[in-house]
Amino acid sequence: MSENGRLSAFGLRPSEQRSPGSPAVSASPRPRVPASAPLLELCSLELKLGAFRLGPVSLSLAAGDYLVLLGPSGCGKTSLLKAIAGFHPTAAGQLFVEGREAAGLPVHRRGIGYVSQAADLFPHLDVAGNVRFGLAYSRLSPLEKLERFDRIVELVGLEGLLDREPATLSGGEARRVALARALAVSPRLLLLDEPLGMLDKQARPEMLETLKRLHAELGTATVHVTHEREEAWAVGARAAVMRAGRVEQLAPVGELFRRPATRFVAEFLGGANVLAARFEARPDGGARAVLDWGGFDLAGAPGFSEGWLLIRPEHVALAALGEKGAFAATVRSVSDRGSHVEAVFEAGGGNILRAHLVAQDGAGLEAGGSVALRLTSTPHAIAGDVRG
Amino acid sequence: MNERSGKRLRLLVAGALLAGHVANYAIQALLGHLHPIGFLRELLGSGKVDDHELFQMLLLAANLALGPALISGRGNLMLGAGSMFLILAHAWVGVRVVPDPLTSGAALVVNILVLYVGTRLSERLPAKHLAAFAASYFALFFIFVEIKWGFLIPALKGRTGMGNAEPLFLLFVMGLCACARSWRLLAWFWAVTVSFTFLQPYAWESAVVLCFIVAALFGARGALRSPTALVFLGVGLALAGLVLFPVVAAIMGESPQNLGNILGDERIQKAVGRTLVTATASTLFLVALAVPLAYALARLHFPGRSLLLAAIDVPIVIPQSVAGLALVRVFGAGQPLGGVIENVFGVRFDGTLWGVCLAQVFVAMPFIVKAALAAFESVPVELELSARTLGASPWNAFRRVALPLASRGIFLGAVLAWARAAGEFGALLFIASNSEVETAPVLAWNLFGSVGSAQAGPLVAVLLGFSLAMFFLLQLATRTLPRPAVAQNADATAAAQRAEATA
Repeated sequence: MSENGRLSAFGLRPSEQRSPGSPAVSASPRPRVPASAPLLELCSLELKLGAFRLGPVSLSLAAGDYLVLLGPSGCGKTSLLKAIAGFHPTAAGQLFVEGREAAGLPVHRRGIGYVSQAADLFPHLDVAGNVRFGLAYSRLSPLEKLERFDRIVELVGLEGLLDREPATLSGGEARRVALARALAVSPRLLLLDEPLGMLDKQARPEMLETLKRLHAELGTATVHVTHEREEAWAVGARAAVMRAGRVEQLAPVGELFRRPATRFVAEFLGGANVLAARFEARPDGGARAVLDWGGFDLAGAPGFSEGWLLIRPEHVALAALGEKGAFAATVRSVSDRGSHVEAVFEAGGGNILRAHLVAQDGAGLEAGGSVALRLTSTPHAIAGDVRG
Repeated sequence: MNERSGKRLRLLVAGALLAGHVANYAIQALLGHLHPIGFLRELLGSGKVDDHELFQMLLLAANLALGPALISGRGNLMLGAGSMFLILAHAWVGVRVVPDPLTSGAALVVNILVLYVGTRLSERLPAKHLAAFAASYFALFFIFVEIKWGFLIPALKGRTGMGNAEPLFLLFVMGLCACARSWRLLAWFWAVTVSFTFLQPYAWESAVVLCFIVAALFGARGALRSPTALVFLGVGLALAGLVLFPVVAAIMGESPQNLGNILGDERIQKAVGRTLVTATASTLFLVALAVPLAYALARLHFPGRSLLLAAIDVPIVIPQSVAGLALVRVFGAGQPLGGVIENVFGVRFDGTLWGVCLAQVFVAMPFIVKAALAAFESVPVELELSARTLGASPWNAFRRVALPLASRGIFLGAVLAWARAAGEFGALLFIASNSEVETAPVLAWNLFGSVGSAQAGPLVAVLLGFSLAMFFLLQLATRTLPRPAVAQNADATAAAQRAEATA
């Protein structure tokens, strides 16, 4: 499957495919912000939480955007979300919402919806009471409030749950109620903290569908925090990879996957071979990556002489001996995964290379055997200190 | 033996017994030994019958006891033989030990009943039941012997309050037969029996307390219904019994007429009314101030917070008399602060209802503050933050989320504070104990001092009953308030935060 096919299969919305810098075209039925001003803008925002320092973080989000904040546990993504919501004070930098400085605004004047990992439903109110809670503070007329309530209940699919007590809801149901409660007040921005966290496997796809449908229908700009890269694929949006309180890379998910900016991003998104390499410019304007055991042509000059070479496992294939670009390797292990064969090779110098081979190629491999391999696609160069 | 022929045999035996008895009766009457109606008249009148007549009567009783058992198919050979033995034993031995024929006859019937219940128990239930039943019977017999003759425990002799030991014994044995099938009933039976034999003259009071303990022990449910836990429950209930006993005794010790008289007394009516009004006013005042204090303590951390928390407990740890003296020294007439308040607001504390409320507020404060603090601490702050993201101001988040979720705890605290205020006595003695402003507890003391405990007793019973009724009513009302926030929400959030912080 090609990368593009994969993207569309995971429901990448047209607005995410625009080139950077073009004006945001929102699918929202009621765009609230002129397209020129970013809805949310963090300028070198820093937080101080006890001994933990977060930032500086710079991000911007246009109306109708869906941004996934991706990172391992403890990288500060939830804290950043809470700072945007106003639960944590900021230490330095600026936080703009609709072009206005928001860092000093109290939580209830920010117009930012927040759905926590625990749903945090009000246990003394039934589902309807929870969803209706924030409408008391909106400027809508009573009739509009009723319409809004009905629309959200229908969109989120809570019709059968309205008179239930929160304690009787399943994890997925509670999360949907929390989502409806946050969306009922038409927030400018919706913050979701691990919306699939602590849900069982059956409830996850359903919740993802709900999230995507709500975003398509309401167009509320959303920041979705997660440590699961599959979620980023599934919602098919832009994603920011965070590490230790900083944003490592912000790009559409497919680009993060194919052209990671750092070794951390490459390894966090998973599966790829990341090998230390030197890069040399060629006289014809191209460039070449040199490893201990071979060299590979690059698409263009990387602009640095040392770093990492990213080789995706599905770009490794068997080659005939003597074929141009072929290199020798020893088979370490082979495991049949049905759709493909996962093989681990040892190229020269003890370097391990994982590969996904098509089934008929992998069938004849045996551990210990010698083979010739080639790359079916140009590898990606990543800058970095290889000695560190 | 199959079922049908067994039934036929039983019917045959029962019929033979009945026929033999009727024939015997007829023959005795024909021979002039026995006048059927005169015999009954004698028995009911003077109770003096001769041995011959007594034997006839015993036969009749045995027949009445044995016949239904045989016909219903629930008798067996042992029961039949045992009954015959009992009849003979009673006719020739029991009659000489217990000369009263009516009692002797009743004893026979009851003993046959014991035999019948024993055989039924051995057929249907584990041997433990039979052993407990037999042990209980012999224990009752021992108690009976001791009450009648006092061989081993002289103190027990004649200790029934009913004159005769025999009828009481028979009554208890019949009760034992009725209760033998279930451990719980057996325990209740012994609770009552022990109360009425050993714990006179507090039989009723101790029976109530012991039955409560038995009910608690046998009704105990839980994941860990281990013998250890049950023994601990029993030990703990002994403590509860120690507290309950005087209370029940004080209430049950008074006759309804006495209570009625007491309730009609104007001085007492006024004192009770004063107690209700002042305790309610003090509680309302406390709630108005303690709820904000508790919320601030639960949500804010500030220098001196732990000192403040400790200070809140002071009214609990200092003696009431010290509290009363301290209040008089500060708020009393002629004291600096008391004087200022009297001059500026015209409020005087000495010997006034203001003083009553002041003392009540002082002693009841820790209860409401602690309860409200615990209640607010149990409301996860995340719920309030959620409310804030939905547009609620801090005040609205408090009003619509924290307050409703803490309301049950606050209400319980208010109930405790109310009870504490209504029951306050020590501090009141110092600041307001004159008869114009005396509350019910102070009145009890004043009555005790002037006319003794006989006059104060009924008042105590009334006060106790009233306080308890009020307390249980309020506990009941609490159930309508929302339960505290679901703990798992808070746990999950806390766990997530810990994970975030450690990594």
